[in-house]
Amino acid sequence: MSITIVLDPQLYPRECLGQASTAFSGRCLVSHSQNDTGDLVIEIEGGKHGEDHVVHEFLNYLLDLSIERHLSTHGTN
Amino acid sequence: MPLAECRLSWAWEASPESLSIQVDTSLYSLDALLRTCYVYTDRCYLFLERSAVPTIISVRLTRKTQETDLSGLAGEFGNELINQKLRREIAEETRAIRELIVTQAFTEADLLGRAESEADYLEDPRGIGR
Repeated sequence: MSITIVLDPQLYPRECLGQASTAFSGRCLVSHSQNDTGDLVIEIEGGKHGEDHVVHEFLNYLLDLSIERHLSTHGTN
Repeated sequence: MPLAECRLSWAWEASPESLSIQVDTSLYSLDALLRTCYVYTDRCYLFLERSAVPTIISVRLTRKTQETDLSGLAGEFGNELINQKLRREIAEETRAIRELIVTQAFTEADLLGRAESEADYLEDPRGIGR
């Protein structure tokens, strides 16, 4: 069983997705592709500790990385 | 308190575990929104998606534990948005003076003209009293 999620690359940069996937490689398998509109499509499989929980944790981690990247690019004031 | 009783017109219950807030980035910058989300990642799960209107971003907040009060969270989220927006505006307004102070701190040149502005009034180096 896997979960598919569509992400806006302006909110969730591709580089951060790769980083988050690597960080969560021990908890779930994340594959990603791009659809016709340029959005990122990710598929999350596995999750020994409850799939929903892992997906939520993964998305929060990805959001943290994306925000840190945004702040480092657009100033830290 | 259930969200339905709370009557926050700008937030609605997406499920018993989560609520959705739509943020117009022409009112609150993307920067302010992201900084606000950063504050909440330890208290709830967040997911962002752009809506059909390009300037509007939908924020989904999902509770981490049953004890989390979603309606309270929505209200605090709105306040934090305003807080972050204001912080950015103040940072922009004071950017020039902050940069000048930092530059002054790291240079030997007297960019602020301290020799004149902090001189004794009897010396009157700027000739104000003349």
